[in-house]
Amino acid sequence: MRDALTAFLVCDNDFASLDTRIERESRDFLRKSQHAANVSSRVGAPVSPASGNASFQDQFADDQSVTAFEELDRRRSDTKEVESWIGSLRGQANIRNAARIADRIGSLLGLYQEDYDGKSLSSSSLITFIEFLNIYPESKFPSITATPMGELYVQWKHSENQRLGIQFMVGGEVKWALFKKNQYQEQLDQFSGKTFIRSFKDAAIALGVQEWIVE
Amino acid sequence: MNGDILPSTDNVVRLCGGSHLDPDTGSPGPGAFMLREDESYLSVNWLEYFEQRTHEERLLEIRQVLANKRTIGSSARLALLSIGHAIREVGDNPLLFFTHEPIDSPNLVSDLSHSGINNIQSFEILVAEKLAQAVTELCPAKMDS
Repeated sequence: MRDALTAFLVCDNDFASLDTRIERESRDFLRKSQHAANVSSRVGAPVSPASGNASFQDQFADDQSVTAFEELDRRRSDTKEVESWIGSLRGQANIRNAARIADRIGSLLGLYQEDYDGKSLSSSSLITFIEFLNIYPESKFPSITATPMGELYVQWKHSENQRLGIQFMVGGEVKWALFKKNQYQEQLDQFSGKTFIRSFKDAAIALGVQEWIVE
Repeated sequence: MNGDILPSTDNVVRLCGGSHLDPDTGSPGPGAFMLREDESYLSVNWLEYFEQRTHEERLLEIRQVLANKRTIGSSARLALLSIGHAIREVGDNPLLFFTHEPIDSPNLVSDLSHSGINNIQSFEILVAEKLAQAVTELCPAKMDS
């Protein structure tokens, strides 16, 4: 219970964007379960002992339990689950740069452990990123770094300072920031938002940055 | 935060671990400028705290302090930010302010140049992107062995 309350406080420190906030949808547990199930069925669940994400989530049906799960995930120092998901990503032939991206995340895992006293990257963040790659299987090879919380921060750089950055979070959510040249004044417009991964494509189309992501 | 405001003409460095660096460019990604869950400001070190020193001597002082506080990876870098430039890059929403937050407690490793970048919470992802772009110099963070 203490972990759950702590996690609630952390997650309640919500993000407010400057321009195009897409309202965070309610913490619909069924949606989270569906997300986990979708990913598992698409990419093949890892076989590590700690691989029971979806089934673990299925056992809980309230917001507090979900946030507690997130908190536990973040604190986890066991890298087996992340390594298992990296292996799963590597084997996905439908994703053009799967092996290269998997290699990068593998090396990032080691660097993150060095920086954060042996802690692991967030496996939930990686699951969200893999779901994204299944939506964009033709993705260019992006810049992949970590956030202090162990989430993946992925950037597609277009030209000069134009870029799209996406922070992959638990439960299929993303925060994103876009810096795009204004065609009239040659200045950079900035946009940001928070959305679920399946809704992100609509935003990318509306903002005209699909071709920044795919080859 | 309760420290003195740092002059906009001065400079700070931020320790960027290898997991926050783009391997292709060596530059820090936005994650290098995001808060940990227990932080209210971004920790940095103020170069001009060390008066009458050259730029390299100031960096050396900071490397020594950081090495006393934690293990520094060989890939880690110090990212230099000019305070005035960084504030202009981020703009007025939010308006950043840099404060001197010296650590001088018997129970902690002394870090007298320790400082903070304040007011980033509300727009963290945009601020982090802009601060990553505002870096003017990168150098190794680990002491030469």
